[in-house]
Order: sequence, then C-alpha cells, then structure tokens
Amino acid sequence: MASVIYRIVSKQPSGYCINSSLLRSSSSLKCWQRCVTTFRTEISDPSEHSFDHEGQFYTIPKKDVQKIFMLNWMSPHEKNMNKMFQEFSILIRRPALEVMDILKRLNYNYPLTRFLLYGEMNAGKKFTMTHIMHYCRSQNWVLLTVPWANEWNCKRLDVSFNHHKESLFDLPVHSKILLEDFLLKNMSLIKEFTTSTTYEFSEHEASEQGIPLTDLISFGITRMKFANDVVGALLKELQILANNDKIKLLVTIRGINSFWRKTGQKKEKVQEIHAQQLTLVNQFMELLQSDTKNAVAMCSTESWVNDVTDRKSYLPTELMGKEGVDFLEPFLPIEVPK
Amino acid sequence: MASRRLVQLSNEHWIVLNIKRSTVHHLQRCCVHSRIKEDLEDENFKVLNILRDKDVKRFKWEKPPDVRTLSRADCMKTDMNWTSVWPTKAPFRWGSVPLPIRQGYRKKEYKLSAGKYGNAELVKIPNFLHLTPPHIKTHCQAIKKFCTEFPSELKNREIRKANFPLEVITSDYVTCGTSIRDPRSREVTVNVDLSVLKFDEHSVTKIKKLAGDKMDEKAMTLQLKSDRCPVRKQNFDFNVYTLTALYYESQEKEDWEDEMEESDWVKYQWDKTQSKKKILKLKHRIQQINSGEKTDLASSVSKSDPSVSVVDTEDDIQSYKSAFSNLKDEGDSRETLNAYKQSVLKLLKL
Repeated sequence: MASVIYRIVSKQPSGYCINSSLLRSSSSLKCWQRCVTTFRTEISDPSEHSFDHEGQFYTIPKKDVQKIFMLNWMSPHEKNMNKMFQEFSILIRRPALEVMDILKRLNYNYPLTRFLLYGEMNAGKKFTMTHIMHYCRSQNWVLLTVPWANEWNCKRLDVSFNHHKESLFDLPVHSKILLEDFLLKNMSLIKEFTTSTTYEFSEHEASEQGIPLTDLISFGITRMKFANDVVGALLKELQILANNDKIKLLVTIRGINSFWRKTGQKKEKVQEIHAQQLTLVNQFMELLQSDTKNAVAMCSTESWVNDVTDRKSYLPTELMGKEGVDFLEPFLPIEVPK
Repeated sequence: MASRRLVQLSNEHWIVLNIKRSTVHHLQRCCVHSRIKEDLEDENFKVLNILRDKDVKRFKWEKPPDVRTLSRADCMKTDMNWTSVWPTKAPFRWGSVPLPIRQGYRKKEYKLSAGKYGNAELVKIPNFLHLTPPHIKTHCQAIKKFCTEFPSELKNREIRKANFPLEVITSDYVTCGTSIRDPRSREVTVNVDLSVLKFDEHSVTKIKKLAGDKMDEKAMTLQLKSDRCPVRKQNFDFNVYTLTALYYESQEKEDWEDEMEESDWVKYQWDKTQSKKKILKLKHRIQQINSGEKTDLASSVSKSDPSVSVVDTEDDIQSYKSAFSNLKDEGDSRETLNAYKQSVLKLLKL
C-alpha cells in the first residue's frame, strides 16, 4: 500500500510534503481511496478548504509565497525546493482544518484566543501554521510572526540595556529583523493607519501622534538603537487598532517554550540572562495576555528549543513548565499527530 | 651412593650411566678370590661367608598402605544416614566427606584447584555439614512435641492483615565461627496498616508529606526500617516511637500550614489560584459582550468585581476547573489535553 502511493507522488513535481501522514491521518481510508485518483486540489484559496479536501495537496500562489513566506519563514531547504519546482504545495491536514473551522465560528468580540500546537518533532506543526497563515492572509488579516522564538535566546547579537527599565535587556538586531519582516508582510494593509499617541524613545527622540505606522517602523529599522522600543510601540498600536475593529490580528510564535528558559546571551558584568529579562519577550507576553478583540494567537511548543539531550518530551506542560501553562491558559491545545 | 656420568660408548653415543655403588659390591669384588679359596680349604676353617645369601630376606622398605585408597568416604553407601556420620559441628575431615570438593588457587587456567586431601583451606572455612536437611528434620521432630499447631483461621492473608495491622520483620544470621553474633541482625522493619487508624483529608496529606517515601498512599501502609540502635529491641521501640509521632503530628494542625504555597500542593486546587480569577474575568467579559453592553476596556475592569456577577458554579466553569485540575495533576496526555480543549471551547461558546 505504501509503495503505490510513493510511486504516484514521486512522479509529479510536488512541493515539500509529509508522506507518512497520508497513511496515519484519522480518515486514512477515505484519503487512500481518494488519493489513488486525485491527490491534488485546484482550490488554492484556503477558506474554501473543508474536511472533504483532507489529505490533498494544494499550491500556494506565487505572489503569496513571495510576500509572506520568502523572507523569514521558510527554511533554506524549502526555499531550494521552491526554486526548483517553481511551486509551493502543502498537504491539507486535520489540525489545520480544525483551527480554521474554529476561526470561522469564533466571535471576534471576545478577548484574545490562544491556540497551542504541540506534537512530536517533525510532525508538521510548522506547515499547519503556514496553512493557517495563508488562510488568514486570504481574509486580509495582519500577520505578526515570530519565526523562531529561540533565536532570541541563542543567537548572540548585541544586547543592550533598556532605557526605560534597568532590569530588562534589549535585542536591537532581532527587533530590527522582526520589524523588517512585519513591514514586508503587511505593507498593503497598514498603509492607512497612524499612531494614536506619542512614543518617547529617549530624551531627544520621540515620535509624535498621527504619523503613519510605516514611518514608525522604518524609523525603527534605520535607528537600531531604538528598534526594541519601536516593537513595543508597534504592538501597542496593533492592540488599539484591533480593539477598534479596524484590523484582525494573527500572532504566530514558533517555539513559545523558549520564553521560560535561560538564554545564551551575555552582557558584561551580567552572567546569565533569563528569557524573562528580555524586553521582546515581555512585550509579547503582554500582548498575549491582553484582552484585545479581533486577535488570535497561534503558538507552538517545540522540542527543538531544548538542548540536544533533552529532546524526548513533546507534550506542552513538560516543555513549557508550570509558569508557561499558568501564563497561557486558557488555551486550546491542538495536537499535530505524526 | 649414586652418581650419574656421561659416558661415551664405542659408537660415539653418549649415555647416562647410573652408577650405584654400595659397600657390598665393593666387598664382593674384593673377595672373589676368597671364594675360590673356599673350595680348596674346606674342613678346618669355616669360611667367612660375606656373600649375599639369597635365602635370607633382606629388609625391604615397604610402602605403607595408601591412605587415599580407602577412606571412610569411599566406603560409604549412597543411602547412609548422614546425621550419624556428622552429628555435631566439626572441622572439615576430608576422609568423611564423600564429595569431590576442590578449593584453592589455580596457577594456570587449565589446571585444577587443589583437591580435598589435606587441603588446609577447606578446614579454615566454616562448614555446615552438621545442619543439613536431615539434621534439621531430626531437630524439628525432637522439638515438635513441645509445639502447638498454627491456627487455621490465620492462614488467610486478609484475616491476618485485619487482625494484626502491625507486622514486625527481623532477621537472624547463622555463622559457623567462634561467635554467634552478627551486627546485621539488629535491623527491624515494622509494616503498619494505616487503614485501622483515623485519618481525615488534612492528616492524610500531612502524614504523606512527613513520611515521604516510607508511605504508600494507595495501599495506606507505612514501612518503617531502623538499624540505628545497637540492639534489636531498641530499634523496634524506635520504630514504634516514629509511628506514634507521625500519627499524632498529622492530627495536629499548625497555624503556618495555611501559608502553603502552590508548589507544595499535593493536589491542584483551582479555587485558590490565579487561574480562577482569569477565567472568571474572561467569563464576565464574554457575558458582557453577549448581552450587548457597550463598555470600554478601561471601564469594565474597574466597574464590577467579576466574581460577584459571575457565578462560579456554572457548568462550563466547572468543566474547565475539572479539566484543568486533571491536566495539572496527571500530567499531559492526549486524553487530558483533549478534555481541556473541549472545556475551553465550551467556555468560548463554540
């Protein structure tokens, strides 16, 4: 049975896909019956996907790939595949469909809903997120993505002290990357919006009320020193906009369990920095806990975040720890099976 | 007198010539001519006969009979009574033991250890040949007339457990040496069945925390081991003392126990946590939104205390509570997480 499917799949040019899940998904018999004949669907708009399409591949249109995924989200391997096959296809799977189903029925006046994707390593959490992001984009949501939260912990780039709060640490380069990414993704959607209050970054530098958001972001990109503060300002603005029903916000964080770990970052005189001492982490935590309407947070716990020796656990409470679960609840845990 | 000489023969081979010289031979050579003379001068002189008399038997050094060939062990029958062979504690006698025992160092791996004949090592070690099963049997037969029978009711384990909640386990050690004492025999284990004692919820958690590993919560048993005192009786008394201390301490409640923090809780109690506040607040918001109240974010927080308007005995909050407590208590597995998901969906009215 397995060999037949592999033969069919390998003949056609297909994007990055997870073959094994075809067999092991819950409606595997249905998929198998269908897969012998059609394993692709022509429907590229995710909002039209339903449980009938489970187990089929669909292609993401090129311009969406360029815009949303090219910069930060895709790994080098995926980029290669995209270049070679000139297309990006994803398998439609039950977890993604479940989340989209909930998103369709959700009452957006309620406070922020938190989804938590969990599963074993390489089970496909990232691609469920890609699917959901594509869906949200097709509904014109504003996407705020953190492609790999553990970068803040591991990648040793400059750390500086925060101007406003002495105990927190800034990560200017990471903030800049985040801002660039955000601008690229949501350029068209945030063109009209302007800031609602003034933000003071230091004694001399401040941004006034009423300047366009894009200006604020580009200011952050050019002046790396204040990039972290700009991120904070941006998050606050997004919250205000969402509360006023002007935008719908999707926050995607891969590897949220890195928020409660020690970082590898070092600053002179300070020995070890815990993730809770980073401003970025604090800003995102504030966002996740807030009562904003029209916002959805999609987080995933990844075993990759831990050290090489520690990677056996994949269940959320083990990875996030008590603090994480207490912080995130009430959340909707969604399993991504292998 | 004997000597070895390397002698060259005529054909140029060398042989080892074993020359045995004896006084008799020498004399023999000397007195050859006297023999000739004997024939001539017969009647007057009694001729000194120095030659060897073939009739007279020489004293031959006879080897004594080999002890090894006929020891007691070799003559034993297989169905003989061992208790008569070895009645009491005795040092090892190789001749009486019919076993092919070996004991000792092997110079090379393919060589065997030394056998039992004259083996000092076997004598040094203690042997229990005076306490074999036939011996024990005869001992027991001798003592039996002083014993009474084990009561048949107590053969059932449950009845024993119910009637005798305290179980004392001690160990005796046998050795074959100059002293019968063994320091290991002072250890005493006392197994207590706690279901006969009175415990309420607080005291159960308290005694579980005090006893730690020694207590088995599901079976409600306490296992106390002690070997800290030099005498067995003292160890037993110490165990009983710890039992009384544990029991009475668990019945008492101190003032500072109310300050127990979340990390110390045995069971997750949702009512006392932050999570309850969060959920009630959320529920309050949802209700407000559903009823169409036009409230700003800022005002809703300060307006009313959520816990007043939201009744926490409502269905979805109760289900959330049970699902979340389950998740915390039992860890996460597919079932608990699924249940949790269902309860959250219910809360969000999906």
